[in-house]
Amino acid sequence: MELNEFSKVSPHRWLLEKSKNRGMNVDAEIFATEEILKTALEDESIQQVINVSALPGIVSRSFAMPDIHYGYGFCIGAAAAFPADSGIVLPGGVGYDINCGVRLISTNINAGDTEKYRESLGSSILRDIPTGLTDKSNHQLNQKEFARVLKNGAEEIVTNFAGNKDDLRFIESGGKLEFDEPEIISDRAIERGKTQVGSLGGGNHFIEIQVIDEIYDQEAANAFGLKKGNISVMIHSGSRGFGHQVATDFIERIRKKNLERLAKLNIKDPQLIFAEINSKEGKHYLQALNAASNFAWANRHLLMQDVISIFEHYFKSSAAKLGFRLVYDQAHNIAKFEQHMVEGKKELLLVHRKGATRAFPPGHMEIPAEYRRVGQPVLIPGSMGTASYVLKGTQKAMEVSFGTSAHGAGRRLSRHKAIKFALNINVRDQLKEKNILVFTHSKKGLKEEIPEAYKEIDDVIEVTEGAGISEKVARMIPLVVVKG
Amino acid sequence: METYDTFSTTADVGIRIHGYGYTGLFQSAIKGLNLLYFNDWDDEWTPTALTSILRLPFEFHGDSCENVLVNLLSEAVYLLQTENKITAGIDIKEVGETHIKADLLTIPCTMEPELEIKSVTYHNLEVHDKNGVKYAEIIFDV
Repeated sequence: MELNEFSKVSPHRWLLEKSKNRGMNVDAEIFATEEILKTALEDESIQQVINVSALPGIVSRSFAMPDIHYGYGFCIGAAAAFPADSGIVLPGGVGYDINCGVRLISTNINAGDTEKYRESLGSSILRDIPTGLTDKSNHQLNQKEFARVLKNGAEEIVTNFAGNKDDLRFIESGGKLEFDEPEIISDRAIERGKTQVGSLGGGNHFIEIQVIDEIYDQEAANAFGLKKGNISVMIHSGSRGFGHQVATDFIERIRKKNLERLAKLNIKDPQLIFAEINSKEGKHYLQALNAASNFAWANRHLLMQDVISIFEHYFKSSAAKLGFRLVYDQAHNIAKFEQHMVEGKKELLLVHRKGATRAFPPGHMEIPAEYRRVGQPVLIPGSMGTASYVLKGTQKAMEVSFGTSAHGAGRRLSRHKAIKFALNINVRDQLKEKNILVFTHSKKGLKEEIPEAYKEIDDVIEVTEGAGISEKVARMIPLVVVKG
Repeated sequence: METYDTFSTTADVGIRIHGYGYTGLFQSAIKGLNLLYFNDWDDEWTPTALTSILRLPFEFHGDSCENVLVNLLSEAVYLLQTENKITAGIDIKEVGETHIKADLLTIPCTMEPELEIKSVTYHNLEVHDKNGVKYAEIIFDV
């Protein structure tokens, strides 16, 4: 496919009109600069956007965000919606790490006051918080507690472990989606997840101590509790082995009944297996997805509490005195029912976001009252050596992307290429020269996650703002990075 | 005859395998997975050279060879994550396009895996046959 097959709607919006030859039911829209689009054309990611546009019942458009890169099923950085009453649900439109997401915590600690503790904070987080594949959580939940995590999400943590009930308002969906069919969850999913509530995981998951170095929108920054020069903490993790097993289980269950339908639609990627939302398989998958989402919110809540405890230890002060405040927690791998305007009519849709972030506008009832004047915080982390951003949701996002924005920098290099690129680079030393301390158990993982493996975060932010799907509020620079 | 290699897509990793018949293909798949987990995976660690093998029966009946491959590899991923066991080899008793009956030859994992494999995907997975040799590429979510 060539660049000239796209219409340039604006410098940051590109449209591929629906074509019967390509089997498309709707147009595809890519939020990108010309350079980002050209890069996306080099692999199969645009084809993946087209595949999604060919799905039955898809509403409006198949969207790709500026952090688009090649995935499986949907590309990463994708959004698509289907009617709640007659549409379909796709595990491949969510991903295996269900409710992988990001949480941002602000403090009133001045960055200068952390200087003497940074080394200790980083090594303590790495030592005390389980990372990687095999480490088990410090919080061993019994069977009843684990069942309650699946049902109640973050609420179970603040009720029976640690934290503040008021935090729940600052988590997307209150940190809890409806789940009341525990019998549909496999023993394997429970086995994989039961020791992992409160563990970071591997890959690109991280805990980062940052300094807020730039404010672009003072009103929104005030509402979010972000003050220039202060420390923030960002956590990126998901539903761990529990979510991975749920996705594996339900892809198998849906596949058994629906594989032939893909072939009839000439959709070649079996990872795009789908079920009707109102079928038994569809309903069960959505229930299991809710359980995994609840797991992920509980997981990030426990991780936050553990990080706060480490700060309390070194600063010999309480979380309240240090001003720890949950700014927001949001999912970037999820499917949720939402109301949106479609051709002038309000409709209930199942919006799939895979590597994409919800970005609701000012006044939306699903965001905390404190933020309703300015819009929902949109958290977009960069790579480990670069800035992360807080943006705010916009009305335009509701109009053009079902209230969806980017979720990160987006990979540019494969892991093999990243390792090759970093062969003779001491990543840790290179980042130390930039005043960034990195802690990890995995030297290979560090090379895979070198900043050069990702797109320039500033380019992603430029597109996001240029297309009007979110607006910049603040920028954070990493000081301490703990990699999974 | 079994061969295997690893590759990576922009976000994920995969194995490129081939082997004679279904037996060769499935054996290559297990070896390829171990090469992903442990960069220095060595075929010299063949199960017969190891004393601490635990045989775990595995049987799967599916709809296609791809379905069998994904479920076999998913079993190995599960065993490593929950029981800390490496599936070092596979002793196949019965095999066909849509089924397998085998003993997984597992050993305790004493090394830190190089990466966390979340799941085995069906993405673009298609088993090809050329003169009895089966070829496949499998992508893993990491």
